[in-house]
Amino acid sequence: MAMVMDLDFSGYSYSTTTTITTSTEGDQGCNWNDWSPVVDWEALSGDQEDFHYLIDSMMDENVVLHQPVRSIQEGYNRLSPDTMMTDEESNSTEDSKGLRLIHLLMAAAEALTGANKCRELARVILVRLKELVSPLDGTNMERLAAYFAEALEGLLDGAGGGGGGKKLLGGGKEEHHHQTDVLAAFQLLQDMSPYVKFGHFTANQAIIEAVAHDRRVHIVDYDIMEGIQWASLMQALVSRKDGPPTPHLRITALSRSGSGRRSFCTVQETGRRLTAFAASIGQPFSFHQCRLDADETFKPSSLKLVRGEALVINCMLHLPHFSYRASDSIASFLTGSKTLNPRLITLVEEEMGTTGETGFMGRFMDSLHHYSAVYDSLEAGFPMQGRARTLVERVFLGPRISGSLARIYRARGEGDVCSWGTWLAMVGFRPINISFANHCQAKLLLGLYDDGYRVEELSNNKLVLGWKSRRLLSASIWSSQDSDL
Amino acid sequence: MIIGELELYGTSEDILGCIGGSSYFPKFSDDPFEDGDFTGNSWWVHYQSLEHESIDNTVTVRTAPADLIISNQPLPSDLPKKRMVQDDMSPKTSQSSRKNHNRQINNADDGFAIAEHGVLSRKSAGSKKATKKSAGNNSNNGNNKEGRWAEHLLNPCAAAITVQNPSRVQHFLYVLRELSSLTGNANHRLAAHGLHALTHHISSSGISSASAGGSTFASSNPEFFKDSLINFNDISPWFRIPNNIANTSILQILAGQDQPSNLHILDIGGSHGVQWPTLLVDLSRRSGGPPPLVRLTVVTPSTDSDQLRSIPFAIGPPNYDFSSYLLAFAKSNHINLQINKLENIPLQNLNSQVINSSSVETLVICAQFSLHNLNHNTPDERTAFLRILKSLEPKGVILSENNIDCSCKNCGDFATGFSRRVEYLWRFLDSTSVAYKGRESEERRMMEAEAAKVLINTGEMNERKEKWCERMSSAGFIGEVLREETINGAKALLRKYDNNWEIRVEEKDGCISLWWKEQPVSFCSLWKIDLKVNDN
Repeated sequence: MAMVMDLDFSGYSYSTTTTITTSTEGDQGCNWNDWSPVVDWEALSGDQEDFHYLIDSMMDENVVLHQPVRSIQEGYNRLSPDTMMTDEESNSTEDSKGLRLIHLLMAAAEALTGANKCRELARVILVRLKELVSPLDGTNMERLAAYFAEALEGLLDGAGGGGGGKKLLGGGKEEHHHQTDVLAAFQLLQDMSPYVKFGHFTANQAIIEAVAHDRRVHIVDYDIMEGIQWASLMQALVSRKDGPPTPHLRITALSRSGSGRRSFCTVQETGRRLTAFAASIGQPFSFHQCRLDADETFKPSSLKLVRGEALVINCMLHLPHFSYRASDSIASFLTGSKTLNPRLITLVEEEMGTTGETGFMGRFMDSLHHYSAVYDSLEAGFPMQGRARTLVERVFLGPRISGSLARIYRARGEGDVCSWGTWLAMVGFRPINISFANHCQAKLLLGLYDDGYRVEELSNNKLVLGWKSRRLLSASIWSSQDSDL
Repeated sequence: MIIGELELYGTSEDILGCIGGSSYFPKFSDDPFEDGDFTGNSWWVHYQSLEHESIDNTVTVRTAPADLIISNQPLPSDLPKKRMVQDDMSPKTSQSSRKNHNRQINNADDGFAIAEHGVLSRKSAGSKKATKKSAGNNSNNGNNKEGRWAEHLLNPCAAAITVQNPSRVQHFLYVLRELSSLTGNANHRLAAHGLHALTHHISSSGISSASAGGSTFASSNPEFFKDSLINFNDISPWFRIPNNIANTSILQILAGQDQPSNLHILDIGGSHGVQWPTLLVDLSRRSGGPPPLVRLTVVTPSTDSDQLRSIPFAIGPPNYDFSSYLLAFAKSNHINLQINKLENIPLQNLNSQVINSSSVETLVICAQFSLHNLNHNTPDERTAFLRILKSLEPKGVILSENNIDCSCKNCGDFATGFSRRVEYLWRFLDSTSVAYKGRESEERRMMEAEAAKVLINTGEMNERKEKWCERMSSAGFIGEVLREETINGAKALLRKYDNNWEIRVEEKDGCISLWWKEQPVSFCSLWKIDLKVNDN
């Protein structure tokens, strides 16, 4: 599915006023070589004979590409009328089907929101898409397309009501997953990929460095899930060789009413487990819950604070943390945290493209690009285990995609949707450098997985996990302006 | 079964013996209304019975298309019930139940996907409201832009071609390919034909077939062709109404003559003979009998030029000849008919000698849907031709044309022109879909393939009726008001068809226009030579 990643979207310029742009305004002639991910359009401007073949081949169901190529552009530039069927025929038709799916998805997204809006068209396209794909089998692209189609359909159905209300979790129908499914999927996700551990380890390392001389540490966790992050933190704290004795660790987990359905364990269970674990390794520990109201407004006053403790705010927003929490909830949490003057804020979030796209279409395509990279990376982790992947996709990725699209859809026309990291900077938090040790640790971690993963350091306080050329996750470190590090 | 039908078929059986048989039997077995004895070789008779129902206000006769292929989709469940509804035995009721029937079909006219059916029926709730009388009750979403999704792909694609944005064009072509289907609903078909036309346009070496749908008039079997046309006229007024108005107008002109004379009709139309049987019958029923001689001079376009091949409905199968049928029919109606075919004569070369007209006959020129292929830019062949018509000194000219804007290069860029053609084709496909009740058949495909030629016919230069009227005036004609009888007759005939069709009469120009879902389709007008104008 490399095609999606390398698909050059520069030709698609989606501004809110027009859906058509010329790539060569004011040029003498049209310089077709500037662009085409798909076809050698040079023919269009001059000799049109080849174009005939190209159109024919487009019309021909048996269009054949050369060997599976990383770049669609490469592949189509080599397309010639006398291309013979190769052994990689199955890959070729796969690629061509993938291309069809992408175009259909684009058209559906555009029909929903573009200048040329037509809901009936969107519906018809989605019907067609559903004929072509299934979330349970087929190639990566096909399964991905199935989830995207479902997400779009959710928008179509819900969009009639005009602008989503504040939902706790992103729009679209939420499935109730079996507890065992979620557990299994989570386990698989951890094994297949470094997504989970990358965020945890980077955050934990930064925390350990920040509280090196403290006797009491208080961590407020936005979404504790099953608490595995803290198990490894505790182990690290306990096994510090030189330095002060193990600090007392207090964890306050935010809990939400009525959100039990998405997790396979409640916050209380997590608390019990962590307490038991801490006891077993000799880590002084206490656990607290902070219940949020239905609208998830965070009230800092409801936290129990102790003088002299180092306060750490932990905000994990990425896979497998379920869906998108409503922006308001996150904003409220982070803003509220600022008033507490925390020593450290650790933030892990999905890294969306920085193409500067502000329209729905641009973000939609970026999202497609993003998740196709995710799918590819998971496949690399478990190449033969299709069913395992479909489980992870169903439990985590599908809802995430729906939530992501709903968020983009709601934000359309509202200007830029920035990352939380950017937001933190704007609100006045101070970036903290990622240490060399932290960076090395990340590299070591990735070394255990497929070598398609890479890590890079950005703006000093951020480590970004990427798959091939696509950035996927970022872990960043911040501090409140007034606090002492 | 509607009782009146049986009587009608009884009548036709008597006349059957007079007419030579044909080996081709259309199959009407799928239609519960059909009497199994009805045979295809009596198509003239059939036609007669159809024409007169509206006048007698008797029964409606349903014929199923010849090669009916029932689609996979189940028919709307209310269909059989509607047909059986007989409130009382008055003919009006049968017509109105038929109208309801059509309306139901409108709602469910979506042979492609049940999912879509669900959507459409939700949106078409408006159909259940009281209908305005023949005012295009919008029972199906197809009228407003929302339900016409194919155009939301075709028009932007054409626009992208015009501004030369290859990636966008490519994108749309991909999507169109996925959604095209020649057997789906009207939108799917429009997408298919539109896609074909667009690729034809951008591929310079030209795609060999002029149509995406394969078989067109020119490549069809003559019997099939004839039966398809007849059946089409039975289910859609697209040609029927203009033909009807033309025929009534001819009678009107004839009646206006001082002394009885021969009738000479110059037929510059594309009815392929289907128009004339009704006229012959009407002539035979005139008080005072038919004219001693009825001459029909038919101008057929030459089939050689590529351009002609792309004119919708213009060219029939090469070995199709309606003359013998028509002559036999005339004979059985005691009419002395002569048919003269002028083939391969360019329109500009018409003159009195060529058509062999004489001053003692009543010459009526019937120009239906042919003149829009005359150039209206420079050289202005069109006005020149109208002057030629005047020089033939006809007692009347019947002009029927498409009532839409031109799509030629001079009148707009490719995108504008294409969107106009697409809109026009949509009206045809939509109304035809209703006419065939959403069912698929070879016949329907052929008709649609013919109509779809409009998308690639570069020679077509339509004009609105106002412009045509201007031209006729400047060529020395004066508009003749169509009589009440004509108008009422046409409206009565229209009732037989779906109630989204509408006839409008314009006070100021006296034209009768035909509208589908409140969009203009065609118009008919009657003209006489303006004696006050000197022809220089």
